[in-house]
Amino acid sequence: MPDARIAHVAGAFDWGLPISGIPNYLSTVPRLTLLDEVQDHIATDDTATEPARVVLVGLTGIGKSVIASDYCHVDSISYEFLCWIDCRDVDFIEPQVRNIVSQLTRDEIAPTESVGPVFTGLLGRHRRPWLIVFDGIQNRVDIEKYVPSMGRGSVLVTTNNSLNWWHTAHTIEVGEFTEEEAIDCFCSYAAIPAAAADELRGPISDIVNRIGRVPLAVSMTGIYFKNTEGQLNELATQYFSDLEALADTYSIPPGFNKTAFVAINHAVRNLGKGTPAGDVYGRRARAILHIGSLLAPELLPLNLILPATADSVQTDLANLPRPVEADPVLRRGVFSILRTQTIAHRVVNDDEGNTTPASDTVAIHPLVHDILQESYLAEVPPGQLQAQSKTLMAYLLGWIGALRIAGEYFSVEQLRLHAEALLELVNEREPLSPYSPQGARVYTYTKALLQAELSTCQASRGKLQSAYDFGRAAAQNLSTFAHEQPARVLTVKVLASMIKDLSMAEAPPELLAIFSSAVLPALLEAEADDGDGVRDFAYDAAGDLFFSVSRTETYRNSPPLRGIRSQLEELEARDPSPELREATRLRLINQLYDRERFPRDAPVVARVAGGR
Amino acid sequence: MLRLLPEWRAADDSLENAVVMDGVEIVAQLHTDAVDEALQGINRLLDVNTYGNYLSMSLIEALGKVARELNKVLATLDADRPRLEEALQKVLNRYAELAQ
Repeated sequence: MPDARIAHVAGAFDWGLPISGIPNYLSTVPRLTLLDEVQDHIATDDTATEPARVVLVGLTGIGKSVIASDYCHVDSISYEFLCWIDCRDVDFIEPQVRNIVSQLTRDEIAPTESVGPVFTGLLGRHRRPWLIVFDGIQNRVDIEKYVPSMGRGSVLVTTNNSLNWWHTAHTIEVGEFTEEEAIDCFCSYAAIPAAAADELRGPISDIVNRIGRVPLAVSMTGIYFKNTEGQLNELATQYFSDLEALADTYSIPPGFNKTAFVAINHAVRNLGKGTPAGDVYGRRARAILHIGSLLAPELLPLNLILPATADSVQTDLANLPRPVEADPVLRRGVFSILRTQTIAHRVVNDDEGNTTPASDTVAIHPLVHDILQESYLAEVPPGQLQAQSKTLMAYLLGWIGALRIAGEYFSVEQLRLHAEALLELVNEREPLSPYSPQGARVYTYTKALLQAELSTCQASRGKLQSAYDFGRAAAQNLSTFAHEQPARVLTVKVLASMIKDLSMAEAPPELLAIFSSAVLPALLEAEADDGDGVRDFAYDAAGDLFFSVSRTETYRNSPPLRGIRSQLEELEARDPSPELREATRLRLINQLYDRERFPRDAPVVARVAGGR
Repeated sequence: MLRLLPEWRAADDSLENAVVMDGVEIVAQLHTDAVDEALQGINRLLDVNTYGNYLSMSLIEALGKVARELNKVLATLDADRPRLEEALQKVLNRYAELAQ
């Protein structure tokens, strides 16, 4: 008897079910025909050594992930473990796989060790059946290294790309609901009792057919009807006339059912309307969805987005927002509105139980996110996009900086993806129209500071090219205000960081010399400033720069860098408080080391001196 | 150096500085017959494993200094040679991983 069968019998088909991250979408209408087809082609054969592969293909919002999630929950006892890998952000696949490997082996794997072979090797050797779901992947090439070619398991993929899947995989086209399924789904969300459903079958059938029987649109339309008083027939007439009016406003992306697209937008516009909670919190909930659509769709931190979408937010770069919990009553109220829809679900995104204010998140359905972003950008009045982006950037800047300093890197990475999504969005649309010259000025400074913060993050992670690119973008933005001293000081700070990155990457000395020559005049200007803070900054930066251009033997012997070093030394020699500088500490360490100044009573001292 | 370390740590309480100062402390301990303390410090440094590779640049700096020093003291600390060699290998492996 094969090992797998023995294990299966011994375990009585109950493997304890360690399930990693399987979402619970709670479909109201299980699509039994499709679930049967998945089961027929994916079920494990305990003598098989090659994993079965099934690919669910269909448009966004058609219900592929719900089917995959239903399958996981329905057939979970057939597997020893199930893993769900969210592939919407390709960069996030690898950390998830790494996390699964850690859970399965209880071992840490080195951050630089390639996790693909470890993962596939682990699954290939595993005796008991497993299921891996890759949800929302666009291109096979992005998961290929994580798909085992051997092993007693199954692979389920959901995608809206119908091309280039494995020839051995069974592909299932997921289409719209059947009329029966659509009517059932509508009745469930509209809370129409079974007895009344038969009577209303005609108008309901008309409604669901007009919205193309797209599952997400059917459920959202159902909720709209549930929350609106009146006869279904009369409501339907008004509803579709509203949709037609809305349809003129949008350009519908190709591949979407036009009415379904508008129905989803309409549902969000009416979120919470007519309910007691909606009267209080509906407007904030709608603002979160619309403004939040400027960020990435997944893991939107509620505690950040709530204050950032308040009616009036002042941006003060000297007092940036800090990561704190938002008012819990407001948070609960807003979430009670969001949960009435199928568009968003709450996710606690923490690092193995370690939570921060960024951990309480909502994930928005990607189709809804795209639709809301498109409609928000189409409707936003001139000036508002810049003002709103500035507020979001200030929050992201304050939060990322504080969490990075606190070593909360899990949350920093979550927010870094949002910051990059926002920067990409505004970069594609710049120049943005401003409310006022002052508004544009603060926007530019905030954006440059956020880019500089992202540069620092990437440098800390050893991603020096990316750090350099962000630094260069920040310096370019600040150059618009080169006539202002704060911009010049910030530019020096950014350039000094870039020079440090270049130095760490051991860039050619000529390149360092070009950057350093550009910084020197600004340092001398800062040294001559009336303000103590600016002068302090000049001396600090001069010291840091000195170390960057002296790090290696090549740099120390480079003629162009030698000249720069002597100018920096002259500047540092004029410092009235050298004892305050990091450069002074580093020099002292080097001097003591070179002179071998270790105390005689060292063992005793060593025991008492350290500790962070 | 060991006497000044608390002052240097206090002057900059960032995590990056803490890692670099750990490296400096280990270097000093290796020269002051505090091999046990140095090896404990090395193990702590090797255990620093942060999400998303944050701190990796500071770790590279610190581990580089420690490796250089381990190599240097191997010739003089005969009694501790095997465990220092073992530590050096681990430090070099981690350094190579991070520097990749």
